[in-house]
Amino acid sequence: MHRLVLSVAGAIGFVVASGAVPHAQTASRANWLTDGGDAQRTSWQRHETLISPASVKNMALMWKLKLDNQPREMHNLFAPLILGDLQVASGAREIAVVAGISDNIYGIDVEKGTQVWKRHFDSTYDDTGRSGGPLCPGGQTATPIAVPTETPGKYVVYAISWDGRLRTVDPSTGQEIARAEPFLPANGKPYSLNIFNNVLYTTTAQGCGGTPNQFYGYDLKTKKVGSFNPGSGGMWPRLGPSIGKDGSVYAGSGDGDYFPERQIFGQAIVAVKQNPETKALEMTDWYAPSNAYWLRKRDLDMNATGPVFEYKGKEYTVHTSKECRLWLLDTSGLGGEDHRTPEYRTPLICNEEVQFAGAGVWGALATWEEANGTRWVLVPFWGPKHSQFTAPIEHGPVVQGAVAAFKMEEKGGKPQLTPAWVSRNMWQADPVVIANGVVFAYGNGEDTTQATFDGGLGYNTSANRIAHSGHATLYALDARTGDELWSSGDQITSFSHFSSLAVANGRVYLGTYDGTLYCFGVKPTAMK
Amino acid sequence: MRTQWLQRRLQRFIRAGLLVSASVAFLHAQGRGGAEWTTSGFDAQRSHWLRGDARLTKDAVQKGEFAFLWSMKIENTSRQLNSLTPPVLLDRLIGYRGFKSLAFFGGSDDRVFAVDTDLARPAWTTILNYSAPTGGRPSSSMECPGGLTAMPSRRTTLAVAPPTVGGGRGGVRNGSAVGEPGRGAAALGQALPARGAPPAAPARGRGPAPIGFGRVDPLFVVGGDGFIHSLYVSNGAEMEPPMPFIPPDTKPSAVIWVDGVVYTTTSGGCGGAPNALWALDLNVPVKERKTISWKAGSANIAGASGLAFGAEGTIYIALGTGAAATPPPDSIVALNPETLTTTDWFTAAGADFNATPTVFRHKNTELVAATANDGRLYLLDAKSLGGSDHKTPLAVTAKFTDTGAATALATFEDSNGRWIFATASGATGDAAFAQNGPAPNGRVVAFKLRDAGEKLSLEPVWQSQDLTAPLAPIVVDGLVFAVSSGEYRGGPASLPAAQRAQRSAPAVLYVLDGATGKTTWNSGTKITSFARGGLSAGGGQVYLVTYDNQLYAFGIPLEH
Repeated sequence: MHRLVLSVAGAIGFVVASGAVPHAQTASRANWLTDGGDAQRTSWQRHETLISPASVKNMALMWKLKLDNQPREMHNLFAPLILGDLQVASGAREIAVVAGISDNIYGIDVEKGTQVWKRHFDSTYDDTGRSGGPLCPGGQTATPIAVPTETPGKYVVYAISWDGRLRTVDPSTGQEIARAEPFLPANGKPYSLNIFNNVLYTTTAQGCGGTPNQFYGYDLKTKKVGSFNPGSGGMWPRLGPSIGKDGSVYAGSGDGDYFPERQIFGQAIVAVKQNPETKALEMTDWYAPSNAYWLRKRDLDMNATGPVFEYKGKEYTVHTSKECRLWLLDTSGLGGEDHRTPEYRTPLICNEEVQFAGAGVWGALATWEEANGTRWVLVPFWGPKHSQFTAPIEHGPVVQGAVAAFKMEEKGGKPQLTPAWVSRNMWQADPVVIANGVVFAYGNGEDTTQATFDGGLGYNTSANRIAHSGHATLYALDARTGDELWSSGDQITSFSHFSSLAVANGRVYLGTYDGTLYCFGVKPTAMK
Repeated sequence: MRTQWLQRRLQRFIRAGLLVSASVAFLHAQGRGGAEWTTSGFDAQRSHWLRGDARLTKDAVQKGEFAFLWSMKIENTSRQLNSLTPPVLLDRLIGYRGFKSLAFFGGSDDRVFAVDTDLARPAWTTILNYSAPTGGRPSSSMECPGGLTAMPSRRTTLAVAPPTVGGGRGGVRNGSAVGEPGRGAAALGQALPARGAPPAAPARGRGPAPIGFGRVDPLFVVGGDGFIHSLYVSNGAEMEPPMPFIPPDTKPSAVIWVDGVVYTTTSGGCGGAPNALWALDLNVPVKERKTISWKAGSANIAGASGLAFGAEGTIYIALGTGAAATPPPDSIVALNPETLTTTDWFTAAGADFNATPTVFRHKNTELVAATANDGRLYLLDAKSLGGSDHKTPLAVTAKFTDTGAATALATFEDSNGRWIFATASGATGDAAFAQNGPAPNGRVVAFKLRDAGEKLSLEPVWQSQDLTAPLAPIVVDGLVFAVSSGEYRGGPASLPAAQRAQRSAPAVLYVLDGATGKTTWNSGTKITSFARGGLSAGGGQVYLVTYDNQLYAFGIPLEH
């Protein structure tokens, strides 16, 4: 108990002292401590040395591990967190922490490909046994986050269980090291956790379990939960909200109405910050596309995480929606004076048919920067490429999905996003990660149909969609050209729904619907 | 400090008003989910009045936002002067190809079309096979053109659903909150707000359950062979095998589906069919379905809509002149919708009713209005047409038009009372309208219902500028949309269709102030052919079809 208190106090103390944003690397090993790699959600592993465009051609399946987490609707495993140098009883190990939707969290030795611990969260939620379909699956829906402590090699993992409580887990043992604390209403649908200045952030969507769709911030020091409701819309960025350098938290409010005169900010990219005094979350800025009414009318909502990044000394964030174009926004003034004017707006990249399902951008954008300062933005999308969208390099017809890459350039003193390449066709391209000049992308292999000509939305059940899903495929692409360097082929045998990749220390990870965690790598690396 | 600066920006932004987005957004909230143009004349009462459109508002038109949007050539072959029917509309289909706003209309060449009305893209085309055992389509004549002539129908409720109020998913007032330590997130308007009043339930309640959210509506179409088709609105495929409904090769009026029963009327003797009202109950299993009919004798059943419904389901039809019968010609007849038996009638000898009646509510009384070739407008009590002697209307106007000008009535109600609009031609007779310039060819006229305690009357108020062979007007937010059809209607009856088409002029759409009849906008030379079908409206747009197989859309532009 005394040790528990000390470890908790130590963890909190470090977090308080450092204003911790998860660090991607310690002295010898890289980490992947949060969905999307960092608080800015760049999805860029900056500290990769083993993977390269040359070495990735020899990528191989290192191991696959079937975990006993039960799927719910189409969901199973979320992106693993990689703790490169976690101190365990036997010394330093590289451990993956993987959350499963059925209130489970696992510790995996990534060198051996073996499970070292499992934690099942007890629940105060009275599960009636019925879930709300693929849109409201119930269970644990937010990818947890790992936060370094003061002690090198020691971390704390935070998670949100089905009953909405905040869980604090020691990743070296899987034990909960603090009391589960009230955070969100139960049975909601929170998205991946993020952290800034000792405040954990998430957003919720779909109104699952009656939970209002809004931003939430758990202040670790005071245990107060601040929130902000944009008044309309759902907030479903796949990798959770992104955070800028000043602590502004960004997410889109999709499928909502935009009535700013009534302070209703649906169908907008919204920025909030914690009030340091009250701990409430307050809106500081927003951008609503000029065609917000159209986006609402055709269900082309914002549903993807937009990363935050620096370019030539300024901070930007880039966002998108099912409409399938990019909005480049200056974080010092989203949308300009009228909140309707982005720094740059691309033409449509995909979704020429104006579909609400199976087309558009659904997960997250990604960004990375070359050593020479070239800034890239990556857009994984579903469905066919728009017939009018072209890039200097294209890798064949795209009918099911692909990744489009843009370079940030300046023209006439104004920033713009210039198409660079479009990848090969993929079965519904989902969020990418970047490591040392390689883009890892995957086609999720799921049936994303929601309506049929005769049954309408009656088709949209997990049973139908699972039956018509295939398998995910992982690709390694040259980050500068989109050339396919490697593919997992048919090695992955199940689809992956609403998950994402993790990459660190020469390995790439993906969890699938059948509960299998896959690890592909360039070569095994032993712990020193 | 930055937060305060941004808050001040927010306040300035709000004070600046952004009235366009505010009005659009507010009215959008009001209009979402309201009634749509599902049948001829908008609703079962044939009011021609679109309630609660979010974007097509008097305000927007006054600001100059109303404009020509697009036109589309439809692949259809005209038969005589018939080409396309006016469209019925569906503002939001959650379909297998995305959320769509669609217009559905028939083509004289026995085709059915669907068009995405936001993007002006064809959605689907269905060709109806001629299945009647008559040896094929007969040759066409002016009186009996053959092919598809009846405007299709979606499911139509007896009572018009009021516009819904609310702002999308959530719609709660935004705001910040903080939960106390250890208590989790504060509740903040947890419950999602109601999505406005639910649609009114069918008065009789014998029809099928409403189409569930996200499911697929049927579209009901009668082909030239008299068969009834139920098509998926998503792709035009048949939901079930088409079946005989009315005799083949007739000239049916618009189809309407109410409470699971499809209705239409036939007149003119085409295909040897009687002048009759026809009904087919689709609620029963296919093997038990049988068309029933009510025959009107030698009198034509007037009007392109054929029949109108009261709120309780009573059917009202208008009979032209003819030989003595029971009920007599020159009558407005009420019928039971299930048995098609006569329940009441009003007769004005020699009146020669010439358009489908319209039914509306005034205080606690349901009223029926109808025009006749005697140049008058009649007002009847729906519960007792014509009183005890079947000859006494509640009111009748002075003669206001020459013979043959009638198309259909439109009616709406605002804070100033109940209005009724009709088309007219030639001399104005004894009715004294405020004028908007000379109108020697034709015009739209407006009457106001006056209620002086026990006595109702119809007061002439205004007439529009000159229109050539005007089509039935429609009403949206106090604006009257009128069409100078341009059709040449003169000359001997034997004049062939081709020559009539040649002598016709392009149609012009007008927007009139409903209170004064003043023209506030017109389409100029945008339309290049004459028109015969009426207008439809919804989703911020107004639609007109023309003889040369074009579909035109006018309205408030929407950024895509």
